[in-house]
Amino acid sequence: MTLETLVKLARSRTPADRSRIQLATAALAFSGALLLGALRIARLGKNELPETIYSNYVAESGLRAGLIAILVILALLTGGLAVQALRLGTAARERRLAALRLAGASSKQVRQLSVADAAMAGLAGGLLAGPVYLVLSLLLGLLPRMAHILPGAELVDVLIWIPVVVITTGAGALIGSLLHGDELLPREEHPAEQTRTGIIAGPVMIVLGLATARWLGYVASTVLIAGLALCFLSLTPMWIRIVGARLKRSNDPANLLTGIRLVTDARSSARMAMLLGCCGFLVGTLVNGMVSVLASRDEFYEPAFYATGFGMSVLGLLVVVLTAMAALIVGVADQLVDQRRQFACLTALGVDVRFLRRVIRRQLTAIAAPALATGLLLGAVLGLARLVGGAIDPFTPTMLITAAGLTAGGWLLGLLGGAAAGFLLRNQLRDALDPENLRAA
Amino acid sequence: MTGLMAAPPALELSGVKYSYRRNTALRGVSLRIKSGEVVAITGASGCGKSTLLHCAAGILSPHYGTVRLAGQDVAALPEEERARLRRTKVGIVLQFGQLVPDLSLLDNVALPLLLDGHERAEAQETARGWLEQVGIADEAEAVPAELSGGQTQRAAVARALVTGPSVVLADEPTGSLDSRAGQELLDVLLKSARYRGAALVMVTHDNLVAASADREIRLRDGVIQHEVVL
Amino acid sequence: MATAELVLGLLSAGPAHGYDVKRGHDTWFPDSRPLAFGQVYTTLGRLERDGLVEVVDKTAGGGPDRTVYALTSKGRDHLSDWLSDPVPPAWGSADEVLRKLVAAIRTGGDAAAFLARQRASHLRRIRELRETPAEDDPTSPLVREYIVAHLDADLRWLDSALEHISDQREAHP
Repeated sequence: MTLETLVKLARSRTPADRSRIQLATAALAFSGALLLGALRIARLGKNELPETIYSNYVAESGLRAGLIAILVILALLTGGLAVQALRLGTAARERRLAALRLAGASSKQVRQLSVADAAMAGLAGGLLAGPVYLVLSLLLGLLPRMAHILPGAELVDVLIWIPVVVITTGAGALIGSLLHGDELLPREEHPAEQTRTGIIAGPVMIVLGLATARWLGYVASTVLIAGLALCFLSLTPMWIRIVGARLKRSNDPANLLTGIRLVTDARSSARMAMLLGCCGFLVGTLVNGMVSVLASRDEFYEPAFYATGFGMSVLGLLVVVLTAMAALIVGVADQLVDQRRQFACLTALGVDVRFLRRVIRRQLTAIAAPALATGLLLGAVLGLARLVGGAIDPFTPTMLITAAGLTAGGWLLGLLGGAAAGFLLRNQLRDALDPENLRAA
Repeated sequence: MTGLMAAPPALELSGVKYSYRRNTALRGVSLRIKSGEVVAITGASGCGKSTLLHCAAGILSPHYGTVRLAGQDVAALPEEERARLRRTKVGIVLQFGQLVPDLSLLDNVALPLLLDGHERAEAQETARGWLEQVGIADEAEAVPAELSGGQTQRAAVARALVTGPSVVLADEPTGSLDSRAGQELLDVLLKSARYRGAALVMVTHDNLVAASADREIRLRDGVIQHEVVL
Repeated sequence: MATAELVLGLLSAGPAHGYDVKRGHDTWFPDSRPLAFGQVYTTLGRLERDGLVEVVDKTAGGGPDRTVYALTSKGRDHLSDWLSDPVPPAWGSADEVLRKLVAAIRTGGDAAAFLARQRASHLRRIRELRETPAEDDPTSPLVREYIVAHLDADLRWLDSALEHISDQREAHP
């Protein structure tokens, strides 16, 4: 295949595909912007800089390296979002690939098309990274000086933009290539024995972690979080079974379908719930820590400094949360594609996109909302201090209000995620219901 | 014929067997199709005729037996080669669902050539010639959704022949068309295959399609029930 | 069979000899069995008796083939009535193929082999018809399609008969 053919065939997109590429481009643009930031800061050199102009994180050379590392990590995490976006399959895409195979495209050529498709999203993302970076640093510039972690740009920075574009394009190509291999293999089911050990081991590890935090510091924290993860992983299937059974007894057909789909997809839902719960927990502890720092009257603490630090960590965790929710959504979309013929049959029964959106929304909310809320609540109540073994503060009204607020916020985020999924997937849903799916090549 | 090296048959199946999980679709089918011959494969639903065609096309690999295209064993080839064969030596026409929805007719017909590495301009010129041959040259820039069933099927025929294959395999080519459109498509298919000198194998339950063949092979329950020369 | 009414139709354009009537029929139905002269004259005679047709010219010294016939007004009315009435659906006709098959099965003969041969014969006839294009006049394509459609219908029945017999043979070997 010539390059011209490759681009032409890879680029052609059905409307339902467009959202997939747009999401991937956006994620890679954000990722590229963060990389640009890291490179820009690296360009500042190794010396100390005036703290009157720059944020402490940029000015102090010791902190600068850390900031660069964090920006790179955030860039990678955002790249994870791009992976989820590109994982999004659509029924139309499947039909198109089938038609291409019929015309004689080999597996290698189909793979090349996927790679080219993703690489072009990466290219677009890289090109957008420049403007996005400028906007971000402008926005941060509106905040107090400490938060100016992205130090604008000079004309010569156009030169560092070029390698970023190359990196995002390469990242896109890499993602496209890795994802293509996955598509063809069905996922394997692991037996349910994990559940029972998890229910016992989880709480044990949590208690252990809490008890030894004072002496073992971060090791204890890791044990605690691992225990928490196990709890979520094992409890979610039980929760799903309970909720699923209740929904299946409902008279509302949407609830009935939700219940069935929840139970069918229990395993990956449990994984997502685990991720959401743990991130929620970490965000909760960090917010708790931030609140206690800000509320403290101690002059040793410079609030802005810690707020910025916590803020970045929370941001990173939010990106992970978004990625986890995106993965959950993509899982649902995958189901839509796999079962497109069954869904197309539903059109005959009067099922329309609105109905399916309701089902999807309920399915996702049933998983995401409790996971996020529980994680946040636990995190905010336990507090950062207990997690890392520092001095434990007593429960203050501020803490409890924060905890309540975060819990409600988490639940809300779960609801929003469900609603967003319905909206984001509307094209995929319409596509899955398309009677064209009943004709197979 | 003695003393002459006879040219290998365009398509040859020997003892081909294929099963889908619990049900055996083909239970040992052998046939030989000469170059330029027109053969109809008929039989009731579920007799295995579509499976036979898919095995011949290299889309399915038979569990037993061999498929030879112009003397070359298809199953022995690696996947990449099989795809190349599907592009260049075999043309496939199905009942529906075979054109890429977001490409124009011209690009769709040129697709096998493009996948084979030809330059776009050259491929499009050849494709245009075939669009004229099948009578839809005016619709070259339209996308499949804008056309009638008969027109998309004609495009499928053009695409099947664009690389100059030695065999054209058609699975219910008139199946989704009404009788008038079906007859017109049949004429187009016969004429184009004859023009190219390609053998034409049509799986069909339409008697009018079967009537236009040189030979009819009838399947029942995965085996050949009878063969008649017409 | 409505041969009489057909003859009326053939005379509606104007008076004609019996020979012209036969020729007109063969032009109207190019793929069918040609109309026999005897049948033409018998039909004309009957129509004359019923007052639907009258003799308008008789060349001296000639037989029936020298007579010119024309429609009467009664004949014209009869024709237009016939043209506007729909035909009642046929009884299952005792076509020869059907008779052969039933006889073959009932007498224990090889029905499947007969069906295969009959099928081939039908297919060949369809191919002949399709290979020579119909004349480009108002009715020849219709006639052609009628014949092909009926051959097709017969073939479909032959197919199902073949399946039926094969099933029976497998069930009771």
